[in-house]
Amino acid sequence: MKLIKYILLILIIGLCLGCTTVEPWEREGLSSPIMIFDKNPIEKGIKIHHIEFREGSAGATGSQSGGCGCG
Amino acid sequence: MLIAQQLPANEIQVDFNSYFDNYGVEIIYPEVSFSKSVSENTSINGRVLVDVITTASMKSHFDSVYSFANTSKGLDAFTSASKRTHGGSDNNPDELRGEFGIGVVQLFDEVNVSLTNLYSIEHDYSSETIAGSISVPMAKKNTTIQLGLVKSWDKIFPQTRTWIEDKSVISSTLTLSQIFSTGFIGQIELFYSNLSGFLSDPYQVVTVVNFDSAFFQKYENIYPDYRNRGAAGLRTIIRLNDVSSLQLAYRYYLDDWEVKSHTISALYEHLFFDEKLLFGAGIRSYFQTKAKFFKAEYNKLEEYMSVDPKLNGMISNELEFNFSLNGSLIPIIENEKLEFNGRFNFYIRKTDSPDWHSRYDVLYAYLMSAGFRFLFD
Repeated sequence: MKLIKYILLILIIGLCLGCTTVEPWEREGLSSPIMIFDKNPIEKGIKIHHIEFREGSAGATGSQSGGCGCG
Repeated sequence: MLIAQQLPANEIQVDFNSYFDNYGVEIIYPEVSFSKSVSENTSINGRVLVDVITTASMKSHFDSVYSFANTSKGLDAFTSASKRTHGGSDNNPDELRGEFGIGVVQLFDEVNVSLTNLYSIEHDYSSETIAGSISVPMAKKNTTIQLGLVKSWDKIFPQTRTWIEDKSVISSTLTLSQIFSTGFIGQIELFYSNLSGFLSDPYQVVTVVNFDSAFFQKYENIYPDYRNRGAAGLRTIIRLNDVSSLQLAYRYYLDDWEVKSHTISALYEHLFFDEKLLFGAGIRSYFQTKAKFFKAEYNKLEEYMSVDPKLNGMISNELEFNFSLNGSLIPIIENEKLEFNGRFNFYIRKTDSPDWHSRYDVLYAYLMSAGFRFLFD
């Protein structure tokens, strides 16, 4: 229960901080490959497959995101 | 690449991956995937992967192993999923697994919806998976909320067994990604999964030893037929300067088998040659408690029993080095639509007690990958 409270708190903080804006003309630097989570999702899938075969945990490894997002 | 509000790029990707460990497991698996836009707002994708597995030192034979899956009779058992029931000391491939996937990505204004169907088949296991996700950008595209759902239906039909068992998994993921500034991106992810059906490994053997009578008997693992899993992850990318960044991540996991874990990782990435060469170096550390019914040794028959090292207490560490090289930097090729990728990982896992079969308590594994992506119009 305590964990759920912490997670909700983090989510709320995250949503509040969502008011922060980076304008489209400021995003050039965000399109750099060093600013993208999981640039190669297929390779990530293979890594996760190996790890989950040898460890007892799963999930919450993140989703591909980042970059300029201005498409 | 798939970013909210964008379709994946038109590309073909070919990878050759390999895995080797000190337990004698060797896996080589080529993979081909593609993604192609079929209209302004629609893209299709597909993938084919083949696993070629050799488990040379894993194979051995036990007779009179008691199985509770469908019978309580003593049966022959083999300690790997090998198709072959003879030999075992050579390095010929034992097992092939094929995985085939097809998917579609559709943009509805700024909302990105994807649907994927995966099918995996090997001689003793099959799995069908349907995965869907929806990504919604908000706050001038600085915030993205993504909801993912995955449902899979598995069938288990081990060699030397006459039964077929089912396993069902449903997982959901909620991800919040936030661009805080041009140099700082954060992501929170919540995960929940429910598994039901046959969750055991029919190739592992539990030995129950009664020390008073010096009597011992062998059994298959006995697992609950359900498992609820939850995890929360947090990660960030921090720009260090124009050409380098640092990714930091933490994940907490728990389930109703009382497995709990903490995972921390860091990845440093650096660009060279006008962003045409990307080099990355990372480290990952993992700490896990054992499942409530896991024991290295049993001295009586219990409701649930497992010797699976995945459910043991453990610490693991992994080092990773990767690169991505644009084809325009290679004199003979000079094609900027071609990208070469390579990766090397060294993984080491130390369990609280030795493995039930090999008696090793440390696993060393080497993973290598090389491939290319070709972007086309």
